[in-house]
Amino acid sequence: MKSTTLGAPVEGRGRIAKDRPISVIAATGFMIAFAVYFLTPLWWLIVAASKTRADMVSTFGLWFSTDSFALFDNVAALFTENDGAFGRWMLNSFLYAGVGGAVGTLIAAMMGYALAKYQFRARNALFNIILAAILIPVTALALPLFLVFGAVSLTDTFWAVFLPSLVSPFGVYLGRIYAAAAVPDELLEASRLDGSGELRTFFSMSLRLMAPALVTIFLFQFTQIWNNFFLPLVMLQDDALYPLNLGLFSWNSQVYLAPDLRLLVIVGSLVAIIPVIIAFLLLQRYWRTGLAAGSIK
Amino acid sequence: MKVITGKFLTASTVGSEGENFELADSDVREDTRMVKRNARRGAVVAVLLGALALSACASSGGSSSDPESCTPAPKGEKVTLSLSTWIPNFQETVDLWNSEHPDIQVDYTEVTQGNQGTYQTYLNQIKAGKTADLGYFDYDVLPTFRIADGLRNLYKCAGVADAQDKFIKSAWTATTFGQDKSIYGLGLDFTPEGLFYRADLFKQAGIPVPTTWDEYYQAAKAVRATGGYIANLPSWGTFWPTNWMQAGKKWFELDGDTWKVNIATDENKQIADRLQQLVDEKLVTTYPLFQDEYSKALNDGVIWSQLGGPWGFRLIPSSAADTAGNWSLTKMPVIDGSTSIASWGGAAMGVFKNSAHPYEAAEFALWATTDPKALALNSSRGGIFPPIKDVVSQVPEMQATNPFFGDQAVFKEMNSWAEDVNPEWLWGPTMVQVNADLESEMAKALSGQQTIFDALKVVQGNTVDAIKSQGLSVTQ
Amino acid sequence: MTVNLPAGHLERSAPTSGRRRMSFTSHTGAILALVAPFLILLTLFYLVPIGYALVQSFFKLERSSAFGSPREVFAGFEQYVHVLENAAFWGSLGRVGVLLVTMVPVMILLGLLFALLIDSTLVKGRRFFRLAFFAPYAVPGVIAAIMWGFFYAPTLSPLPGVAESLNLLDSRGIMIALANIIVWTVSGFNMLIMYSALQAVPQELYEAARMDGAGNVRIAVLVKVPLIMPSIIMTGVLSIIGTLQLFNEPTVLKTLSKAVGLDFTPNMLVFNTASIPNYNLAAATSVVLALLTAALSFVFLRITQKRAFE
Repeated sequence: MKSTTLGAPVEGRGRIAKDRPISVIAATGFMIAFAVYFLTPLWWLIVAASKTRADMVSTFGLWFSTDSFALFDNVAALFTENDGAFGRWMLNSFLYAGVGGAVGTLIAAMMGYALAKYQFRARNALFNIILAAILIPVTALALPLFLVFGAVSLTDTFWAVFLPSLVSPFGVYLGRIYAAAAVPDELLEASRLDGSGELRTFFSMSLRLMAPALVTIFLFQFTQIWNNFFLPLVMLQDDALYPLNLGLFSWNSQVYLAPDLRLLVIVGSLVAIIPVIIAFLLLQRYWRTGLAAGSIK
Repeated sequence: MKVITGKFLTASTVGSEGENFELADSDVREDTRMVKRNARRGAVVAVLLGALALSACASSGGSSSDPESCTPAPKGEKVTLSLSTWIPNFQETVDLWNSEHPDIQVDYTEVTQGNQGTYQTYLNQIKAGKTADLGYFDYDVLPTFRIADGLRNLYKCAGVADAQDKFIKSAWTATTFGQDKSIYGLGLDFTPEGLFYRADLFKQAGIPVPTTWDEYYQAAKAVRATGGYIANLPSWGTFWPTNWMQAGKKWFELDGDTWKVNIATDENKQIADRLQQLVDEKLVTTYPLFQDEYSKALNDGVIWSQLGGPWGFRLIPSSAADTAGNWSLTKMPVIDGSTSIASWGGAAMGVFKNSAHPYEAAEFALWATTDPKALALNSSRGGIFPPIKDVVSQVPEMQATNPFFGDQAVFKEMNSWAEDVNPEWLWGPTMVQVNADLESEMAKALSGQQTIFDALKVVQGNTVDAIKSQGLSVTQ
Repeated sequence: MTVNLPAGHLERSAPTSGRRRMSFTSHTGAILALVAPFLILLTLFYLVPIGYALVQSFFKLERSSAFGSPREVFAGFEQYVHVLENAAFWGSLGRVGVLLVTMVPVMILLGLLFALLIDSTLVKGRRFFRLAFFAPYAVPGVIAAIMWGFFYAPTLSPLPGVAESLNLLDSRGIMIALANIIVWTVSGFNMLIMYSALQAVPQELYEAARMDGAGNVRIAVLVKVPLIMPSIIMTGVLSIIGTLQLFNEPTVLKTLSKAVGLDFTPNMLVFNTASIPNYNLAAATSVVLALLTAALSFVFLRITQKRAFE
């Protein structure tokens, strides 16, 4: 972990403001090369989604077809296939990942805050349980979870995917770090002197102080659920409950039966990830403000 | 791991394009009544050749009353049954039933093909004790579900045992395991293996379409000489056993209560060698079946033929749209001196053990698998070939010609050799594992890392272990 | 078990992190209200299933006839012996092991490099790069694998010549194909974690170094990297866990390549074992995998911990 001089051979002496042109060029070139690597598949997705099936085969894959621009027809076809299954999957994913992520973030933040800001007897034991839980492969839980849910007749329901997704040990771990960093003990003391209750202090002041960090936790958990494939795969039979990735996967594994689905998988992937990329864009400023304690914009 | 009995997403009608024919209600009622009348005529027991043990074993949880008794719900009680399958448009068959039977309503869910998650769900539901009433099972996984204690013996349900003479023998043995007084499902989809071939290419090249495996090898060389390939050998697990099934070289046998595994016996090597020869001499391609490279080769006329069941009526057109009209279907090549063929795929409707209404569930299953109106819908809207003797004469819709196959009446063609499927075959109790192991080992064999027989040896070892870990007694 | 995971990485640097708290037992009610929701969910959806899997792993099936119904009987460590004797298990571990020593360092180094460069003054357009690199993380692994699958398959690729010559879908290339999908998806996330840590480092800490005329590289290596070491270690741990859990991407690749079997990764093996169905062996395999994951993470933490504080 010591040599980080791989990409940018920068000879740094002198003031920061006077970076050598050669270093700037090298560093920028390196970053641009990687930007191309990261963005090419996404670019291809946009291009491919705008083509007809025939054009997909016959025209260059990384540029639009000159004959047709079928994006809107494709999107229309996407939402009508399977009686509008795709729209349902989008809604499901939003509920699982969006709502589940938000609720999970709050729950994790409460727990993390308690671990960071209070001394109580079981604290270390709890923290160790949480660390151990981080290290447990979530996939190892899916099958036993199925049986536990089966015992209460909740398999193949919305809750079978939603409820387990709320638990984020890693979110607690982050929450503890961020609470320790963002909520000064002095402020807590002050609000105690003002006679504010602990919970009221948490919900009215500490949470706000932790807000940027909460966004990071939320992002992490959202992505975790958004990515979760194993749990819905095990739990769900009814495709009306599928999240997007399982839905698209099921289409993708039926391409050999219905070749038209190939294009819909591409268009569906595009439509699925665009809102999330936009959400990440909107949340950029939270990362920028980072975790500097108490600096709320 | 995909068994392609075919989950078709869009309505696929063979021949007549999406025509819904009139349904005469009275016919269905009459038929159902007939079935019930026949129910009391006692059972005909299938006496099988070969070493199938006829030990009826009680797979009951040991409750005091007869766990396999099958009685109807009290008069006037409305029964609702739940069912899932992956047959295309099966909802239409269910709707027909529901309109005829206001007191027995079926609540239908379409699911993904069994091996793509549905079997897992079924098994999990069985373990959790929360199953539906009816399910759909490939023949090869029926033993798996039976030893999971998930299936109900329908032998005592009205009309079931009597239906035996309607069914093609090998579909019947597949659901009875060749045992007395046991029926664990009713065959709905049957897959007599045929040879789909490019009639135009064979004709152009003057190569005779092979009818025996010896001729097949000669044809393969001739096709290769023109630059094409006679076929594609897939690593798909389900393809491999069919070669031994045709030859009557049983992979699994029962000796009393002991399973015997004969996957890699010396006498099985002969057939492995036949396939090995095709691989060694590079007379076949080895793409993943029905994936892109395969489809491209099929569409470009590089691959000239494909073995398969009725699922080929749907999959070949969807993979090779540009070759429409040039295909034809004939019986799969046979071993010299024999007429027997294999079935590749196929599935039965079974009743879950936990069903509160086995009598009504069996009644529905019997109707869905034998009633001509149901069969007409299953075949025209679901692309299915039912395992019913001489089904084509009972179901006029199945006599339609198919333009993709050069206006051949494909169901009729299939019907002419459907009864040649070897009934002497028992699937093992761990076919999910067998198919998975076959797939990974055959992939190595097809890419030249080992021989096909080596692959069989590995599968044999793993299978013995897997059966042992099910708590079953096993020898080899 | 106790772990010395890096504590909050600001506790050593940020002036805000205060003195140790003194004990307040009077807040019992508040503490309970704060921890109860999480603990209840953790118990229901983590501890109960883990307990269940553990119990299952010590049992085996017994039957009295060829189609007899199963009885579960206590088997001690028998299932664990099966796991350790299973060549397929070791094969799948070998494959993720290869990824652990090759792909994981690449992912972390790339993430660190991106974070440092974006945090430096060398690169303009930081916001663009940050988004461009992180955007793939918004793509679920399943969809990422479907997408890259199009690039890999010669018949579908927008760059057919490249796909043909690289031939990443055969048995030799498949690991690279898989690693590439994961590097593409996760590097930006690693960057984000480290970048967030860098942002939280108060600027005054660089001031001294700047006054001495230290350049970007020296500040990066001597000041920044040590300060964000806990974050780097965290990404390492997450990458180890993620790699050992691989399931989604290879499951998608399986449809494209016969080089991916159903036992390609340990998790696929577990899933497949459960499909047989052999729940007891699947449970034992899961337990072994979980223990192995924990052990590897501990070892990694131990080693890096030393290095971080030397």
